[in-house]
Amino acid sequence: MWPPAGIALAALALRGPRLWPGVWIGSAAANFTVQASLVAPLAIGAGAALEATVGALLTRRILADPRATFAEVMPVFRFVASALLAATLSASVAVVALGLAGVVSSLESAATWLTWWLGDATGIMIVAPLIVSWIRPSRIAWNGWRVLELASLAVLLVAAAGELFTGWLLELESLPVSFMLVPFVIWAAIRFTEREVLTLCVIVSAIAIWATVTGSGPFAARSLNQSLLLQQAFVATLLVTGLALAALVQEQRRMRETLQRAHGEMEQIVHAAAHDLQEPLRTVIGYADLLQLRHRERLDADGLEILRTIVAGATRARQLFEDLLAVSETGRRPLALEPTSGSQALAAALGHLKGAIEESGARVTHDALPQVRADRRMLESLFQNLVGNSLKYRSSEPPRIHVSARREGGDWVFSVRDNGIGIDPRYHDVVFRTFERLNRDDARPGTGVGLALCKRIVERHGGRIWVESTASQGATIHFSIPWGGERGGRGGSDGSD
Amino acid sequence: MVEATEAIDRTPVRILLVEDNPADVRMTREALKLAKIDHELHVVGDGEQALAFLKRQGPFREAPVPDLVLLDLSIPRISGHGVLEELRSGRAERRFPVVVLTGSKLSEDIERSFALDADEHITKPAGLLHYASELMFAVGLVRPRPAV
Repeated sequence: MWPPAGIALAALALRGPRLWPGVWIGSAAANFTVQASLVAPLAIGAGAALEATVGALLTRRILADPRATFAEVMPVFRFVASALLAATLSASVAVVALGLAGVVSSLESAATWLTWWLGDATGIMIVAPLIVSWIRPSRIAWNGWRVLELASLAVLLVAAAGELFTGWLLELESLPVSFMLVPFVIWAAIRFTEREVLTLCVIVSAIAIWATVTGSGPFAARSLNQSLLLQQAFVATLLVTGLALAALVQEQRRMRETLQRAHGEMEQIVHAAAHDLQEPLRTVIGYADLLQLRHRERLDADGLEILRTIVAGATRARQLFEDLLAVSETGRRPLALEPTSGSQALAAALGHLKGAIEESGARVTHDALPQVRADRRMLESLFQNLVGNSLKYRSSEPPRIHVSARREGGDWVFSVRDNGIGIDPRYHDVVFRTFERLNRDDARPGTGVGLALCKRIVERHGGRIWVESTASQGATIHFSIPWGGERGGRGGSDGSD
Repeated sequence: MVEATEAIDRTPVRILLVEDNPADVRMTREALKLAKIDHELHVVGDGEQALAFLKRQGPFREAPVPDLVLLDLSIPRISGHGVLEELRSGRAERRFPVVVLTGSKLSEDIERSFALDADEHITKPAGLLHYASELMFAVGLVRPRPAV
């Protein structure tokens, strides 16, 4: 691995390609000490400068902002490709220069080219992103647990790499067990960012080089040059895998955040719209009343009918907004989870429905209902909506409604069973959508929000809701509430973000 | 023998309506009329004017002291809650009875109204009759109806 290639590329990418003479001078000087001639080092230096300039220009194109991080997948692959490409320039110039100077024979030139190329490419791939990632602020919310996790990861990786290359513990160094480093890199990529992946790869690389040079490890081959080639190819593979995975994980995390934000904004808009759109409708209704009060005698029967229709339309629109507001409120309001008696919640709901129950001659019965961890107001509203629906969608028989509960795994499953008109299995999913109604008749007024509201309430508690019914044979709505309240609410924090 | 009869105030209720929407101003007038509330209505269209009226400043130097303030929340310059905050600050000379009369039924707004010591928060209802009955209720807070 040739780290200066990466340093040069990073410098030119960050500070501008006009710094290329610095790379030339630096590289030429370094080679001058080795070659003790003038022309070859100058040529090699020019090759290095060319490599850094082309690489930096490509990197600036790929990342747009050269200080941007490798947090997306495609830029990672483009960067790897440009590193491989830029390294061909330096390797080719160097091999030609060394060939002309008589240092490398034509027989050796292919191997030299490959070593040079891979060394530069690996150097660029590791060191340039490493520099960039370290000058950027960390995107991890560090705390004690994260530091401990990273430290454990580093220790395990170093132990594994040490075993792989030196066999210090189990003497496995001559066996092809290099794959055992892969899980650690995956761990780093999934739980951390590219900075940690790169840093760990540098550590692995250092151990690998040291071991390979001292002649041990799985990549010790016939010649040192071959060994180093193999070892570098291994590190490069590890690195590209880790970088791509880290980028993928971060891309996914960002996507989730974007979605959550967009969802929050949408909720906000729905809430504001549902609230504010009621205002003008209030004016419409009020002024229609006023018209009727003031100018009644000037309107004939048809005029009054038209006016009534206007009021009915506006009133219904207001009701729709009102229900939409309730749905949105259910999604926004923080859950106040507390031990809540199912029986008491049902009793409260039945209290609100007293008039409708008496009017329909319904008989509502229930088993003993358990105490659950729930938001009391929401649970009441849930029962009120479900029992209210049973009353509304009654058959010609007097409504019979029974509420029961049973344990099922980690959940309490509540069931509200009725002898109403039932729900055709075709519509079992449809009924939970907002503003979806199966009946349009005026005998059963409503906006189609009830079950959508129920679904929201249940889902916010980490449960699910479903229908069991055939048309004309009554319906049972089941909903589950996790035994301990919200799912995932149990167990300690793992300290992750 | 104790004869603590409260003299029943039969003068018109002096109301300051803080409202910028002309449609609502008329609605309020009509509802007051419909409710047969004997009243004297003053209307200002923003929060700044409301405070000037109540503090009898500027063009409102001669303004009467209202018995009741009906305060909309979404008004220009200073919001309804801003007006209420100022009225309930230590700087105020007297405690005006304030009923927030607004389109908002957001729990945040309602809680804020009461936190700022409003006498009542009424969400403007749809329909003239409802409006009239809400106004009767609001006026009843400051002028108990004579027992019939």
